Amino acid sequence: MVSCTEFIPLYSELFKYLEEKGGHDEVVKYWEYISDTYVADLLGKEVAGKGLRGCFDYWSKSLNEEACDFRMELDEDKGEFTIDMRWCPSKGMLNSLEHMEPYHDYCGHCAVLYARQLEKYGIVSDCFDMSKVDEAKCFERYVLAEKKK
Amino acid sequence: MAEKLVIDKNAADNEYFHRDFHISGDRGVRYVGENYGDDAVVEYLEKFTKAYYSPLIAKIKSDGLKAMKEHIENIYAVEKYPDNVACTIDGEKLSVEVSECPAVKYMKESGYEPSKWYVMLTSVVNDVIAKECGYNFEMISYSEENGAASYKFFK
Repeated sequence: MVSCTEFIPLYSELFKYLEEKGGHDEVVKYWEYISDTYVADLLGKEVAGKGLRGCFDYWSKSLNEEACDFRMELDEDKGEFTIDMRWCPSKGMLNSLEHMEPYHDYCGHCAVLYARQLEKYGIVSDCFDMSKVDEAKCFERYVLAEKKK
Repeated sequence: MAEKLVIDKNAADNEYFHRDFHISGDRGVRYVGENYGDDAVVEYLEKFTKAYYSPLIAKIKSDGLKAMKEHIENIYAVEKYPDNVACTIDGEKLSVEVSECPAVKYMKESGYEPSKWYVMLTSVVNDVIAKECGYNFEMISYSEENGAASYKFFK
């Protein structure tokens, strides 16, 4: 068994392996597969009945279990949900490993996995700032599609 | 007017322990197995093991099987099931008995059935570590029911 605390390097190496097999497109194909076969059941169920509040509930569990340093805000009047990730333990762990190189687009999976499902429920990604992922930081904002128009 | 909801947490507020990662790990080997075959799963896990476990491999080379024993015991401690594993060193042989795998238990309790490739996260990873350190590895038994296993490292 590989412990759940050692999963992130396993994930990173999977992306590298798939890229060797079929380039970055193959990695994106995998992210779409995971989004459709796994995230759809978890995030999809939350959002189907609750809309943006479902996002808040879904990430409340996962970001706490992943011991992230973050601020999450839900403003239903504005139709907006944001995650300010001040330190992502997964990316932080990869950055700290001196003996192995993280997959170059490791954080790309977050952009694909969730937005793909949320779009089905009228929620779209309005901002995904990955300019500071080298510091294990990012910022995401999801909004109701109707408010974005 | 709807209430504005905010959660603001520091990393130290929570323990880093997300068991769903076991499911994600299995989905990875499942995908590789289904799309590229068994040999590809071996190839993927071999690359992972050589990359990620290189410090452990170096430690086993210098300290012997004691380092592997500590590593295995630590995995079960981290998973909060330290009593599920028993490791015994007899000269140049390390015997490991797992009564139930915490990952398999969690996956099944979550309604997720581990793939046939899941066992390779033990068998292939350990085999690669053993070979890199000049040891042999043998998977003596494995139960897909609960992940109970028996295996050994030896010269």
